[in-house]
Amino acid sequence: MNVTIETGRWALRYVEKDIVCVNMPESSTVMDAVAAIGLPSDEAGITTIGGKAVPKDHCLSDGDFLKIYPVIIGG
Amino acid sequence: MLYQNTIRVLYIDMKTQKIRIEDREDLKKYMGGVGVASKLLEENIHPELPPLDPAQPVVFAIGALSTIYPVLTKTVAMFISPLTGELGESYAGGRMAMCMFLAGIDAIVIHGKADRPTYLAISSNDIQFKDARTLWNNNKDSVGRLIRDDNKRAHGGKRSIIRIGTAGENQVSFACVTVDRYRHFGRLGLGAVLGSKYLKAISIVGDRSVPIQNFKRYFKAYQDLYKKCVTTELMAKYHDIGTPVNIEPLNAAGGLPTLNLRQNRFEHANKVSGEAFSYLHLVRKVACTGCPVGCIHIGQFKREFASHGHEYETISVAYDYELIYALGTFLGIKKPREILELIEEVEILGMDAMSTGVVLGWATEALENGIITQDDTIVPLKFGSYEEYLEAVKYLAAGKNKFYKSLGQGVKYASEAYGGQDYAMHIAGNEMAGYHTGYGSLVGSAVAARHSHLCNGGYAIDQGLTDNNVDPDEMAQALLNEEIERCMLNSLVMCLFARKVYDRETIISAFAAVGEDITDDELTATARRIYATKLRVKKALGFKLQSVRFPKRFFETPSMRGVLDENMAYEILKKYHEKISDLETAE
Ligand code: SF4
Repeated sequence: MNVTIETGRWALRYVEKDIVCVNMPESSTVMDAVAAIGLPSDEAGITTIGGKAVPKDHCLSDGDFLKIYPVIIGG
Repeated sequence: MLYQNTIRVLYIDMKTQKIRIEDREDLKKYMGGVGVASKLLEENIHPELPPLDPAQPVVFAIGALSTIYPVLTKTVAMFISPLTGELGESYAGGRMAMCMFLAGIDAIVIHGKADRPTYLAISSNDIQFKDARTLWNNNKDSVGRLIRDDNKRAHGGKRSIIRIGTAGENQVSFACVTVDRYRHFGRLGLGAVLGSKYLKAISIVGDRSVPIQNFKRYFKAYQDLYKKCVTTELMAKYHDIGTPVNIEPLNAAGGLPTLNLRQNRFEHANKVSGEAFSYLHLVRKVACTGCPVGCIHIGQFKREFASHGHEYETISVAYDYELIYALGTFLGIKKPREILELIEEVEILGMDAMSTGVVLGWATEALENGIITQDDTIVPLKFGSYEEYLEAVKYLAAGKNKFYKSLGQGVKYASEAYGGQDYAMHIAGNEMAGYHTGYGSLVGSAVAARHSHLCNGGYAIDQGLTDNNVDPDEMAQALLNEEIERCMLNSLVMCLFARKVYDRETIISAFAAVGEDITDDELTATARRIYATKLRVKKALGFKLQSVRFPKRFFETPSMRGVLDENMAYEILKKYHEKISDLETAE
């Protein structure tokens, strides 16, 4: 299945492009997608599909648009 | 003090202009920083007197290893907060810690009120009380310049100048203290405390050198730490976009306080995101002395300074997430340039940006609701309308009328006087920080010793949860564990952005490299000892955790973890209270 994954420029330290289309095996999860683009798992914050928050173990579907936000940082 | 078994404390009486220096062995068990400062505060407070009484102390302290290792850059200030009436604790970076270290001073305790505006000029062998009448009513930039002109001797950059603005002179309860150019003792009103002592500024010159012993061992420890800071990913995000990167994830998750927390998302978040600020205004990044990271993001904007003739100036302002939240999303301001201009004005006047944004958010809504009128606010405050806010902050700092005088005592005070307590967004008297992330941030700020999100990082606990179900006992324990651990970290007075760099093993090695053998158990005992001291100070000042009441809006506007249940929040508070009941006596 094909999944579009958008991070944002914040992730360019880890990934080549801030938006990519990836072919993933069936029943892949959000975490699998994070790994697939080479983003360290602890750098992935909230994840959304179609603007709705999804947990990291959520199973992806063909055509999903996954957005990965950075973790919230601070003191 | 490095290589000594004592802590050097400089006592200054502003009234009599007498000074005293004590080298205290008994304070060594508090390590330094917040540990030493808490103990000195406990010894010197007068609980029976108001926070701004001249007899009340202000304490500054640096850490056990300040300056000699990367990112141990901060100085802690402790005092009685005029905002909350209890424990005041605030941290600032810049050059101050280095200058205190090189002046050979671990801590400073200031008492009394001068007869006239004064500034202190401190070096390793000289303390002068200088006439500051010409500095009074001057803003932070002019004061810095005038003090530099007054002391022409070359200092090779080893001088730090801290000063208050007009808000501090007028004793606005959340007045801040500016440190060097871009850093602040922001929260809880240290500026008002210095103002109440007629203390406009302090200049500290680090004119001494401390030879490093066993250089090889020290250098190895230093290099390990330096590499951890600059070659791993631990600190990179603070340098890249910096904390403004938070705007978008908090918005997406529904944890971004907006329009006085009527909303948990801002429809214009993308316009005020870290990316937007970087693209439109970022011109450079600077660092506190001794930090190889450089997270201080400087934005620039252009401003016309004459009504005719096309004369322009370029203004540089440091921005971060909390400022964009408080003077941006919380007030509905959607243009980075307008936010920068507000930040600049608030900073020039010398107020804490977070408190300023929150009191103005409440005032805007109170005006809408008819609790107050435009006779009170003078300008028609309206969410999204920055020009009115730009005027209002001047009235606030000046205490222009009865209303602004009340507002200058914080949103809790103003809402008790005028109404609208349900939407006066404070936690135990301190205006909320920019995280509506769940019980961790809400209850965390209530139980926090200084009611700051930085005491226990509750927002990070919320972020780490896998679902929205919270066990009250586990949440209380997580908050307590972090609160205690941070007492130890703050005894080193590190920048908390670097807390993952300084794990326990690293801290023990850093001490060992300068000849101090300290064990993991000793670090734990020190952390508990410091927290216990803070709890005793809070108790002496009359604080009761059981009396904390949360404004209703926290339970109406959904958080990042959904709508919070009021009963659950109080249950966590109760559990926390039970857990600390035997801690006050920890020695
Ligand atoms: S990370 Fe930023 S705040 Fe922390 S010490 Fe470095 S420059 Fe200062």
